[in-house]
Amino acid sequence: MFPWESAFSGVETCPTFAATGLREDHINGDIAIAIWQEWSMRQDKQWLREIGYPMLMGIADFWVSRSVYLEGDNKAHILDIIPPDEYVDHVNDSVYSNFVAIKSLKYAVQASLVLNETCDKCENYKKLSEDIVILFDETLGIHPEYASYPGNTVKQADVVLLHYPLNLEMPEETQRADLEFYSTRTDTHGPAMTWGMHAIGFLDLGDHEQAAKYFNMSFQDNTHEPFHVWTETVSHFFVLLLGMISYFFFSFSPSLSLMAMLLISLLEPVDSSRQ
Amino acid sequence: MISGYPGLRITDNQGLQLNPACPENTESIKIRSFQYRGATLDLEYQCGATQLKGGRADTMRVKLVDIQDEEKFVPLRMRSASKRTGEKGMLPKPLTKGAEITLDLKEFSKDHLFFIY
Repeated sequence: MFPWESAFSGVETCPTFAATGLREDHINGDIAIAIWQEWSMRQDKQWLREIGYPMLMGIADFWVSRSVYLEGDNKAHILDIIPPDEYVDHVNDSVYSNFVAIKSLKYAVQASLVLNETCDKCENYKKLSEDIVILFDETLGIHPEYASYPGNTVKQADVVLLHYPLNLEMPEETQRADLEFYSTRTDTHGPAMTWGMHAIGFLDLGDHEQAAKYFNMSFQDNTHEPFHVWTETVSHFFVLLLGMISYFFFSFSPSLSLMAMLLISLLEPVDSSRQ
Repeated sequence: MISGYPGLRITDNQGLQLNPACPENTESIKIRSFQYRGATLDLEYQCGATQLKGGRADTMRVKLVDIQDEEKFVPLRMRSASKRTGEKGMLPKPLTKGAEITLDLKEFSKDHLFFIY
């Protein structure tokens, strides 16, 4: 499906020594979300019909191909994946990945309804979206990052993205529990955009003290003299231009969405008269 | 700076959500020329003297300053909704060109969200 890194050609250019290009499949769901956000913001039916809908159908087909029903629980599972927390690989039922898969399937169905398109596959999409498992640990009151998650250090925002930007409805105590649980398990030398997600989460809970703490964490230690250059990680002095641009224009929005929007712009049909 | 304190969110089916809050030591937040469904919006939150520690904005002003295509434009409306009770309230004036809505947020409980749709 969509590449993790695409360069100009649109084909996968992520080197195979980094398994993200092979298994970080949530990129497809991220793109589906970006498509639906584009539709929500512009309400351009022609764009949805010609560009968005075919992409959503293709992404939904991808998740159908990626899901399996295991004996015994009548639930659908997505196995052998890399979640947004790239410190792990070959995990099953990443809650983030599974939820973007669910949203992708629902968006394909919704788009067919908006466009009044006949959609033979939509019954199957709808059923699968209801069957894909979203793990929840009743004892800890949190969403575990993936099946059999042992509570180890995570690279960056993962489960906390369920609330924002994915809008998974959950009780406030669960949202707070996820934020507090993962804030103590997130690598402090990981990407700074993680703390922006924590700030947003606490803002939505009305906890302005915690929000201010994470808002400040998201940039204070990442600026460096003499030019106040902003870096992705505290210790990593390699400047990511894209990260800086996204901070200025989209600060607090996930870089994943920005990446997805950029991918969409690359994937739009090329005017043949210009070839 | 967009989705956090100003609380702008693109929802799946409810339009554009606003949840106006201010960082500590902030007097106001202004977002100019925000493009939404063919409209150009200016948003302004006044944080007030009570917001030294951050918190809900005191007032919110939404102004529709321009429309990209008058023929295609569907007038926008605003409503409020309580997160806890689900109670919804329609704000009376539709957002047409030049229209401006100013809300005293102290009249709403802190769990109220606002939507432009």
